[in-house]
Amino acid sequence: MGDLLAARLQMAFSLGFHIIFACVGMAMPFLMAIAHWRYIKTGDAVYKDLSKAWSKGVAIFFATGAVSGTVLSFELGLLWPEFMEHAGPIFGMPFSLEGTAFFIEAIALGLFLYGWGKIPKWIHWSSGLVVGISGVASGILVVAANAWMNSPTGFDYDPLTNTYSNIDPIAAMFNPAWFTQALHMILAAFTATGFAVAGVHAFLLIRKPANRFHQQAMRIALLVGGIAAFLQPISGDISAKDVAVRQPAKLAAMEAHFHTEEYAGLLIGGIPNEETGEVHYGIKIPGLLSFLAHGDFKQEVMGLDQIPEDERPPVAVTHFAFQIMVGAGTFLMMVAFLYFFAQKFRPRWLGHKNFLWLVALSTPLGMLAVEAGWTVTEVGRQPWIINGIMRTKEAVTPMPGIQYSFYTVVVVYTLLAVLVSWLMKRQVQTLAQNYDSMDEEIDLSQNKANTKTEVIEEL
Amino acid sequence: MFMYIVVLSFLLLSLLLYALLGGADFGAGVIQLLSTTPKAEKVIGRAIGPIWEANHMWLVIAVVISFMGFPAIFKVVSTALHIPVFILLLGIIFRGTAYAFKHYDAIKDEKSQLMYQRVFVWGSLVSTLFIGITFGAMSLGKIDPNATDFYTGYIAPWFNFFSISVGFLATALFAFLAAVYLIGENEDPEVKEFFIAKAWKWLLASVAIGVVVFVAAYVDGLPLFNELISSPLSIVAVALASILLPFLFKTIRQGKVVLARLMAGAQTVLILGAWLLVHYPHAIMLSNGGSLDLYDSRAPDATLAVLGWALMLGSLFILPALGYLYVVFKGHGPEETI
Ligand code: HDD
Ligand code: HEM
Ligand code: HEM
Repeated sequence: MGDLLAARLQMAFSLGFHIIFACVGMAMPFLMAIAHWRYIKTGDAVYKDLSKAWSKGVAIFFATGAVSGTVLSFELGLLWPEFMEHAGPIFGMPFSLEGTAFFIEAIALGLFLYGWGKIPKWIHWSSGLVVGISGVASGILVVAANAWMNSPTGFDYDPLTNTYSNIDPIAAMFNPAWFTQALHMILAAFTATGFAVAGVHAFLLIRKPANRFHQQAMRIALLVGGIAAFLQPISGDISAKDVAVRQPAKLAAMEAHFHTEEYAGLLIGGIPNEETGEVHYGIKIPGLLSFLAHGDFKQEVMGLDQIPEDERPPVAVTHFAFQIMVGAGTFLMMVAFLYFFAQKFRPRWLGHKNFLWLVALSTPLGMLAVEAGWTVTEVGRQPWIINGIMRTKEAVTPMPGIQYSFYTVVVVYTLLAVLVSWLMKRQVQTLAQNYDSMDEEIDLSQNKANTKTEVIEEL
Repeated sequence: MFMYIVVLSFLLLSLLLYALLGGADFGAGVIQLLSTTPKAEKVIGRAIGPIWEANHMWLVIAVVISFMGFPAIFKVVSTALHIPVFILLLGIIFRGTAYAFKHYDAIKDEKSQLMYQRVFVWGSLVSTLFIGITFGAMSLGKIDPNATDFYTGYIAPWFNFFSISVGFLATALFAFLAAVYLIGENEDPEVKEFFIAKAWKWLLASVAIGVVVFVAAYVDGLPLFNELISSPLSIVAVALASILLPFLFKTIRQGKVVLARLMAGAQTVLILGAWLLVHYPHAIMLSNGGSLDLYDSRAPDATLAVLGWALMLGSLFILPALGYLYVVFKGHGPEETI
């Protein structure tokens, strides 16, 4: 394996790992805050237990998110020193603000996790909310940094001398892509986490359909995930229009759109052949791509034939990833629609096995869409690390043997992923033993007192 | 120039706080290396539970300030010292997750608890060792950015007597800091005694390894001693640190919590301060006798200006919140975790 490929794979693997924990870190505090708020309002113990049970799981995710994030901030230098030397002073602004957001998040998390019964309840509740708000803030900031790589602004570049001058870090942070990307990312975090959590509880409900704890958990998660899943395609459309203007090569790769044409069709499915520029087995909806990209069925859409050969991104990977994201997104939106419909008109459906299976099967789809979406963004930007300015191969570290650090990262993170899943399983196993409200069935009286004393955790 | 000073101060401040707070947290793993008791493990878990995520943020902030404010330095460190930094990261991953898993595992069976504990302890050792090695390598002067072969480019800069002995010095110092901090975290006399004994041992170890560092510097051709006595301020710092030593031993023996913490903190500040004074304005010594200097490696003014403002505004938010966290959990760690 070449060093450049190894470095790219290591970066992709590390980010792909971190993003899952980041999504949970952004969305989960809000789910907990909803449950916690309902507890404070109603005194119903099921919500308190839910909030506590979730926060235990979240603590494990946070720790893993924090270490994998720390690894990333070093990896930027370890793998792309040439990039960081030039880009650091330009796009570092959001990272420096992110430091503050992380700090507040870590502090608020400490207060939230350890504050039960120690600090006034509204301060406690707010600290949970602050965890979520600062998580979202850090998500927006880091995506702004990534957006700069897609639409570099805030400096002048002289290709002859390879110098960067007139640096304006604020303009770089508010680059043209930051808003659409950040919006889409935050929604993605809520969709992915909402459906992942709802799916797990739905799965547990299949065995015990009347269990109130899991019922309430699934509802809160579906509410949050469902709203986000509805907004996701709208925001995705805004992103696509943006990409059409800012990175036509990426759009062409996403759509395997080899030939520039008017009334360009939207491709669904299909296997692109990069050698011949043909697509097999796909369905084309005439004019729709022109419409989605430019808001006009007739408008010409630039194809890969207009892009110099050495500046074309890999087509197949980008196209497949895009299909996976859109497919998953469409599916989740339909599940969300079904949920809201049933909630309003057919409440009994919500306890039906088929519905529960549908939600359970959606568990991984949101996270899958997140991974696919990032593959679109990152692979679709290739061969550039800074779009149009610096090539990825110019940025890579001169140190040989990167494949060994890549293998190490793969082994370590795979091990961690297995361990985290195992720990989650153990959390679920002990629910009944730790939380009295786990015995409640849906039709029991609402305000049953919590009799079992809480299990005090030993270190 | 003003913003350069602001940014540099924040860099030094975050490194210092990382050494003091994060160091104590890393050291808490190291002191359990040779022996530990279930009670001590519990105290350690409680003491660092609510704050460890906040502690390690100082490192992330230092990294961000380096790549935004001093990009050339960041580039050289992450290239020439790629290997030790990567190993440091592995240590951070393992100890951080092992600690959290140990703490939050829903089923606390002996077998898995023991596994987490082992990983936590060894991960802490690797991390402290390689933090020290990295900083040692920056000051030794074997970094050669134009090296053509793997050994001179990526191994020789850090795989040497001096850097490794600085690694052990950092380990001992962090362990010492942790022990001093933990003395006051519990009222149980047995546990207090345990940490007092640890503090003594690791302080002795730090002094002994400190001597080895000077020998190593001599062997590896770094005129550390001459440099230390070349600036009056660093002479004062070293002299103060030495004078403090006997008092420090005594206060620890007597279990005077606050005084011992203050003096241990002062000791660390003096050692780091002396190291800094010797080196300023050099950040990295190169093998050709030259150096990468902080001022010359600084980012353009516009960047330093926004970075300085971001840091100053950020600290307005962070410091009060951090203060509240420490006040809430001061002295008595949480009995009931979630
Ligand atoms: C739950 C996750 C999820 C779902 C359901 C979708 N996306 Fe997405 N998408 C992401 C998660 C995501 C992402 C991982 O968050 C990305 C990567 C970079 C970014 O800003 O968001 C992304 C990127 C991304 C981009 C590239 C943006 C860029 O490079 O700036 C486009 C054009 C779309 N998406 C379009 C869509 C459309 C039309 C969807 C319709 C259903 C859709 N996405 C659903
Ligand atoms: C789109 C990509 C990313 C998103 C949305 C994101 C978002 C987040 C969020 C929400 C958190 C806090 C939640 C948690 O700790 O689990 C987090 C943690 C962290 N992230 Fe990321 N991140 C991304 C990529 C990166 C990158 C590229 C870096 C480094 C350059 C990074 C560095 C960190 C660090 C250092 C932490 C730990 C913070 C702590 O200790 O609390 N992240 N990230
Ligand atoms: C967390 C979500 C992200 C994921 C899953 C992700 C995914 C990827 C992938 C798949 C690649 C490899 C591209 C290729 O080999 O063709 C890559 C490269 C890279 N990404 Fe991202 N990315 C994410 C966010 C970010 C962010 C927030 C930053 C920085 C601010 C970033 C910086 C980089 C860099 C520097 C490279 C290497 C250079 C390149 O291939 O262009 N990424 N990432």
